[in-house]
Amino acid sequence: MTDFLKTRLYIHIHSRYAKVFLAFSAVWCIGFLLTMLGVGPDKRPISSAYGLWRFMDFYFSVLPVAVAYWYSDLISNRFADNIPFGSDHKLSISGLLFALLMNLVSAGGFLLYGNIMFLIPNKAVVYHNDLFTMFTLSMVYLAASFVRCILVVFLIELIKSRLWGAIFGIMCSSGLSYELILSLETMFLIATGAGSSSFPLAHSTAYMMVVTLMPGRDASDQWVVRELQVDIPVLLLRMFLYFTVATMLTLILIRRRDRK
Amino acid sequence: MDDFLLQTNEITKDFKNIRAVDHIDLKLKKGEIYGLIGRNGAGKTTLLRMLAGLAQPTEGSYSLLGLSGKKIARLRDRVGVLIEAPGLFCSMTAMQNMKVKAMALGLKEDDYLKQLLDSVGLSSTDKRPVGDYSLGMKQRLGIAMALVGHPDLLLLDEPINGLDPEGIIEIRKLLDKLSEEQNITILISSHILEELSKTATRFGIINRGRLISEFTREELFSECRQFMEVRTEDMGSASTLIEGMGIRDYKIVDKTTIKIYERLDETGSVISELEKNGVKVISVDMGRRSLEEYYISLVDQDDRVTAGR
Repeated sequence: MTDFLKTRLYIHIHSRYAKVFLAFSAVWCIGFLLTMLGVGPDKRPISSAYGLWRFMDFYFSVLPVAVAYWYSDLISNRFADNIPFGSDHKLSISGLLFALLMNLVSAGGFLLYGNIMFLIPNKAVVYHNDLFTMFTLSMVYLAASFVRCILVVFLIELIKSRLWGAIFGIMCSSGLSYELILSLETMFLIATGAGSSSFPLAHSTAYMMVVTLMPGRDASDQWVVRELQVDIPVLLLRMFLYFTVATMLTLILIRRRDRK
Repeated sequence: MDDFLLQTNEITKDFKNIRAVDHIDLKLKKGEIYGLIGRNGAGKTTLLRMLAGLAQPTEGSYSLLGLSGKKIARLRDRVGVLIEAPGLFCSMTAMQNMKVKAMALGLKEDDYLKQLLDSVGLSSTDKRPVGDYSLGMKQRLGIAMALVGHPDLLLLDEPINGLDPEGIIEIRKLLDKLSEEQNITILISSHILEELSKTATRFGIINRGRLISEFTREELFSECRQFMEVRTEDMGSASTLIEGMGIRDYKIVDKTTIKIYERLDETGSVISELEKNGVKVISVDMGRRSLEEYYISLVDQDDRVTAGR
């Protein structure tokens, strides 16, 4: 397992994907900071919590593609086909672990940078949320990144395609799957004659879990959020359950493929 | 069992309703180059994938270096594999690709990796990404990667596919060198018997998942050498007379046809001897069967038998 993890890290460091990811991230991080400092086009006043939400949006958008590479690096080019006795589950599990570790490092880095960025005096932030709120928000985003991470890995294993796993992952991140599930849910409710659902499926998508956190409708100024709008323990519990179920299903798929 | 490096026992693989490999018994001795020939879809790749531990047999078993069952997984670095595509990281250099393979096997031997690259005619200092390599260079790199870990057995699936004549010669020379210098056992598959005949020492023909025939290189060339084909209605007398003439190397093909491989420069005297003793000769032809014709005849014969069942 350690050998596979080291191999994946070596491949990732020397691959062009890491360079592209780092280059895009650098552009985003520097560009966002410059905008905050008041030289960018967007000079609307924001709160630090709202700012972090906007900043992390980039990471959540690129995460499905990044996860697809982190997870499938050894499989996509058929390298694994040439490792004798290599179809054992350790190879796939090492991919899962590597994707989660890379996400921990990347999401952690983004959150750290984001939080530090908002401490710098700037022309954008007009309301600084307290440290506890910012810490809670950071933890929720970290959990959300793991939810999206495992969702993409699960989809790749289910569809057996890195490309489609990433595409569906992007759909989930952009809210397209939310709209799709919402439409299906509405059709189902109408067809069954039910007036409302006590467990809206659409609101359990990885996208909605985070979007509902930041409604941004605070009095007259919609870019200033003074407190988080959802029940955080319940949200974290939902994310934990989501992550656990998706991980278990992924491991079942890996085991099933291993027996073939 | 211990005499063989690899031995399969009725190994079988089913995919839903399709039997890809059908009860194959294969035995490979240390140091031999075994050519597995079959058309596309015959079951070659599936068999090699099972032997490399990349697919599970539906039935049967196999042993490798005296180990069988789950213990075979311990031999990860004793088996080198190149199944169809080399599985290269195209944005990385050849040396980096070698390091990836070594790391996956838990090995740390940079000098050894350089030697391996040298042995296949590639440079360890080449800074070009392997995506810029020719197909032949990629295949050679694939073989070098398969050699990481000092393997006793090399499983190569169609390594000459898509190569130009120069690339084919390069691969052939490389395999000969590996066999001679390192005594590596090589199982190589192809649908081109002509090409394998220049490298392999023993051959197996696979058709519809079954191993229908096995022969050595000597037997192959014996089957494909020049012959005199005599057709007669009196086979019993003809064969007795041929024996009487001291001809030992002949083969009765069917009720009317006999093939003689000796005294080919004395065709006239052999025929006149037969006719002088009352054997009516219908026709006499000189011929030589190509390797491909021989292969096709075996496969066609098997297809007819299968169709007749």
